[in-house]
Amino acid sequence: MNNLSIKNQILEKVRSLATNQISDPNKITFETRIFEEKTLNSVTLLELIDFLELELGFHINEDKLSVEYFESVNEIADTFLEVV
Amino acid sequence: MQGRKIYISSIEFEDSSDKQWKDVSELELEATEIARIKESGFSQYSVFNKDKFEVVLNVASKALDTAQIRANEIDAIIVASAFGSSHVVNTSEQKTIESYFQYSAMMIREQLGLSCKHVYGLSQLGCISLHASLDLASRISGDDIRNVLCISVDQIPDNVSRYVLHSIVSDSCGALVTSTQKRPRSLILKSYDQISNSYYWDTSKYINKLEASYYPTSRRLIKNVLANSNLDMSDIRYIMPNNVSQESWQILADSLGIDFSKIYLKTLSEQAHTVSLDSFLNIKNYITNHDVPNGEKFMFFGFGFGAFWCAGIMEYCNE
Repeated sequence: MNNLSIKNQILEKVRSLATNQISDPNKITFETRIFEEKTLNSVTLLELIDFLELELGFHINEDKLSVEYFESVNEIADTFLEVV
Repeated sequence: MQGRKIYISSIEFEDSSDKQWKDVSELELEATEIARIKESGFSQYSVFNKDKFEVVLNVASKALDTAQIRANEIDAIIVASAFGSSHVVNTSEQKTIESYFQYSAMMIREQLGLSCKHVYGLSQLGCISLHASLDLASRISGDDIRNVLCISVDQIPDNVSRYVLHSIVSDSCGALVTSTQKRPRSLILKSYDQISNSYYWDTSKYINKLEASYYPTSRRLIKNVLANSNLDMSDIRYIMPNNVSQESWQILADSLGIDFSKIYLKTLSEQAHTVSLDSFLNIKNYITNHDVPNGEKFMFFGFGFGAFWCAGIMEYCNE
């Protein structure tokens, strides 16, 4: 699985988690500011972290659990993938 | 656990007569916010009705009495507060430079007749101040520091809203006495862990992002504390939580895969969020109202703006 594929999986997960938050999740892109645009919230972030750790196998150190590393799909990938 | 094993031999708080109780309906908030506060489990909060340092002296005296430790046996005092105003008595009407050195810890030391040379003020830790003072007590305890008096006092300024992040904040004062020697009917501090994240130092600017980070970090810390102690949740009788809201603990319990009944939130409704005392109010409530067996374990948890998360394990010693 290459990094672009992983990024796409993250994007699809964010879109699915955003279903109850915004009217058209398909408008979410790699660059969308996830929290500034209220795409995700404190509860759905938990689900996203579970997805990243349990399904994609990312290891997220406790100092990286901060929202600053989850600002967009691109930033998530930049932070948790060695090479994007 | 970096510090020495310590026994908490007393946990005391202000008396009911030290404060005035107010119904949350009296808060100057929109009706929808009042309704949400009530849904979060709050019914009332409290405001000191006397000088906070008068309250501190009463609470600290009670803590010494309960611990059956004389003033001259206290080897160190730690005064903790989220607010700088609790660290300076400042009785002078004229603000001279000397007035800024009227430290509350030294006033307490004088008024209680303590003779300890080790005196600490602990601040800038928000609502984990008292938890952190326990950590500090364990780290400084040793052959020359056996008994430590830890005090926490917080009074919300008159012109500041007590409503923050779905919580209502009460004025509060508490005191603990820790000892290196085994004490009957005490709590052993088995572990303490803390996560600090300065990205959120400007709380008012980042409060929405902080709220989003609250659950992932809280969950991770709780898991870390259990793993580092070689325990799982079945070994823990209760989590002794902060009183920030029932809803927040429901979310956290769900995310941890534990039953909500594992969260001991008995004091939230009456006491509200008491800055750094919530965990200790809850554990005192439990110990007072139950026949607690020797060895029963509890997890305490706190969160403070800054931002800080802390948690650890306490074990009841009934011998």
